[in-house]
Amino acid sequence: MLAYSVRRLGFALVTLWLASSLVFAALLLIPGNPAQAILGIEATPEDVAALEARLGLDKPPLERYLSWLSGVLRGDLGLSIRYEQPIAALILNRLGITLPIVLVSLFLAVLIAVPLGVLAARRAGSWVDLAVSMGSLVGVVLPSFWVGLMFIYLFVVWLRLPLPTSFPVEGWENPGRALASLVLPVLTVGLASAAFLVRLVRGSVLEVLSQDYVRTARAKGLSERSVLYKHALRNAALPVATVLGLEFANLLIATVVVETVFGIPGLGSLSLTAISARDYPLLQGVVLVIAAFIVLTNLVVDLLYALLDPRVSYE
Amino acid sequence: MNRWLLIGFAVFFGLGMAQQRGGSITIALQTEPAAWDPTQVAGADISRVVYDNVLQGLVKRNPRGEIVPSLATRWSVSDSGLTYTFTLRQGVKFHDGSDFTAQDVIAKFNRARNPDTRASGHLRPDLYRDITEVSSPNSNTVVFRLRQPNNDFLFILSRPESLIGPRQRPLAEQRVQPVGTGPFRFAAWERGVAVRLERNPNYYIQGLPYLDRVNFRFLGDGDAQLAGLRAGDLDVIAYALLPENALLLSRDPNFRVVAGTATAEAVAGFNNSRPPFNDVRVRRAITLAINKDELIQGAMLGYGTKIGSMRSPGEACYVDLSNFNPYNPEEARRLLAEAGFTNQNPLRFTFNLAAEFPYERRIGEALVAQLNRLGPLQVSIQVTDFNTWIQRVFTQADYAMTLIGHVEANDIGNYANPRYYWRYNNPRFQQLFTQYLRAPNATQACEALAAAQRLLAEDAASVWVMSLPALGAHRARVQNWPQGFLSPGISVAEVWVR
Repeated sequence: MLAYSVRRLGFALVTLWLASSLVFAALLLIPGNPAQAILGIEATPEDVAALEARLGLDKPPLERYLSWLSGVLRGDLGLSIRYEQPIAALILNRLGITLPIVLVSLFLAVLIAVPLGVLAARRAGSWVDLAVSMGSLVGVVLPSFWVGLMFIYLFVVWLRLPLPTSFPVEGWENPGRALASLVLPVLTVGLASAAFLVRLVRGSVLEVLSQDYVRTARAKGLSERSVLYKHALRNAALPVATVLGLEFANLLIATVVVETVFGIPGLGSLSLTAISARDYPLLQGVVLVIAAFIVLTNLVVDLLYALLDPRVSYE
Repeated sequence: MNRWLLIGFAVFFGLGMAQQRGGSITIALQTEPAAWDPTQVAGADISRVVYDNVLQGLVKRNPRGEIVPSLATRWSVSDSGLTYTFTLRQGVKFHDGSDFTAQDVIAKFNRARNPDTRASGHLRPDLYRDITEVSSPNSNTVVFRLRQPNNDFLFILSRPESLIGPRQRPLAEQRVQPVGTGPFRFAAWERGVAVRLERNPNYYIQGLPYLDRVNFRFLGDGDAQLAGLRAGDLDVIAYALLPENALLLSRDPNFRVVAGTATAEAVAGFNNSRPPFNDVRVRRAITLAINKDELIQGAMLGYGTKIGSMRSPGEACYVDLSNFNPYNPEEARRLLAEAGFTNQNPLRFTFNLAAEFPYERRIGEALVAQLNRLGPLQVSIQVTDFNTWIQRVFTQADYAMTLIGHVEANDIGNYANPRYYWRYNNPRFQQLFTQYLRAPNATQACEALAAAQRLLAEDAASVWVMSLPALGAHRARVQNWPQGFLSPGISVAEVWVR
């Protein structure tokens, strides 16, 4: 298990390096200039050149990349072009908002999706199943920017719940309001995730319930409850765990839409700023962090497999 | 109920609008600028926040676009037009406690006119080229000497680049936390969220400002802004309110919609150097194929003012050319046929649009539909992000036709620069513009500027679709909101809340 983990970590480092290099190359290929983006269209070419010199953008790309890479190896992600602040601090600050949104949303999604999915699978073909399937279909197809806006109108404008519609201007200085401002985004993201997950749980449980060992369990007279919870659910959890891991990584960046609607300064909006400002080092930093999360999540999911399924072994 | 409300209002106004001190408001801002010192970084949203709220110059443009005193109480211009003498306001302090003196003004403009921008960190030294000397004969007077008359000089001093900070303040600090003399001090910049301004307790005008705090909240999405306004998290959408949202809010007694004209022209620009757009017949034909009234009604729901040259009705020396080259599809087809383009052999080109600007996007898309309706034109749209647009269209002029809003006031002079992205090179225009700048009096200056506007229209150098509407809305509790959009700043010194 340990050897396996170490080997995986080695692969992970290569993956991270590749991801950051790809982003750097991609940003070089697309047109646009960070200095001009900062100064706007009224700036003269001399103004732009002066700012490029101050930011070190007049050096050749390879030199900039190598100096960035050596910084990363020393644990320094460098300075953002746009904000002129340490990238690590910027990302950490934004993760402090996005990570809770994603984790609570996923928790909410599991809380809703697992019971509903199991229920729908047990009563496959009934009106309950139909209702769950229809509901999840609606949840999957509705765009989150629309759902977010509707939640604002429903909960804040009509029901007058004391929820902020966007992150408070004082930031975390007002922790109560900052937390309250995350409620609607979590609901938006969580419900969309649940809608997606419920179909998977249903399908997975249905498949397991048609297996021979379930028929055997039933034949030897086990109660339906014990068939379901002792035998079926544990096996049905395997594909769900995989998808949950992927969904976690996906949400880290997919929250960008919700962050835009609710004006939340999270990782998604930071990466959007980095792209539109052509802030190369900032975007590389964000990609590096997200790639690290993906690699880590995959590792955790793989290790979980061994716990969930005794047939899986990493020796 | 309504009657009591009316009586209440009558009593209220009878007492003469007792302004209340205190309170705070939150204003939506579309983008988050990279920095907040307009002498180092340009951007309309920087000025909206700091201009006349935090930083002030010798003179300023008020919401009606007039140049009025600010840190200078009065000024005089010599008969030759070469010497400008300003009398400074006395007893003014910067937010850091230091005194505002003539030395700050001298240091500022010596920095501004230094052609070496790397050393000065100051934008646009080209604006200040005509200054030969800035001096101070006594502590409350500053004198500018110019090498040649410049009718734009006061306007230049009213630009955001001409705002004045303390001379000893390090540039890097001024960039992220500007210190000025305005009614509000720059309290904090919460990255990705908002900027907070707080009352300047030592402001030199007694009793101002009324508000304790003003927040500018970065919220790019128009629908999210509307939701925030209706939920009460935002008090003001100061500009770029979507026309459909303006209609919606104008029917609701809880909100006030503010509509007017700004200095933003929606310019559908040609690359004048590229065939066949170097042929005036083609440019005129395209102008004649565009139905501006339909665009204003259809794309902007009636908001916007038809124009016919590079100037908005609110600006000085404006000439109404809105019916010059009016919509005439037959004449457009005839001119195109003359230039060799017919239904069988249409003129094909790409029209570039930047994704970030909702007004320009919808106007551009509708305009291209009109062009394609004509027959001999086959136009395709390419939408990119603004950064790509700047590089391809603006910097490299690698385009045929595009549409963007030019928000700057008094920006007709860009047509005198053959390197500007329209690549318009007409010596007659350049001559007229120089005549305007050097004219000995205001009448002659305006005459030259009027002739310049007419020449552009005759040349069909671009298609000036409309003066973009200035649309904003605020909650009814916000009082005395500035009427007019012709200042670079959203000046909130005299705003108060009930």
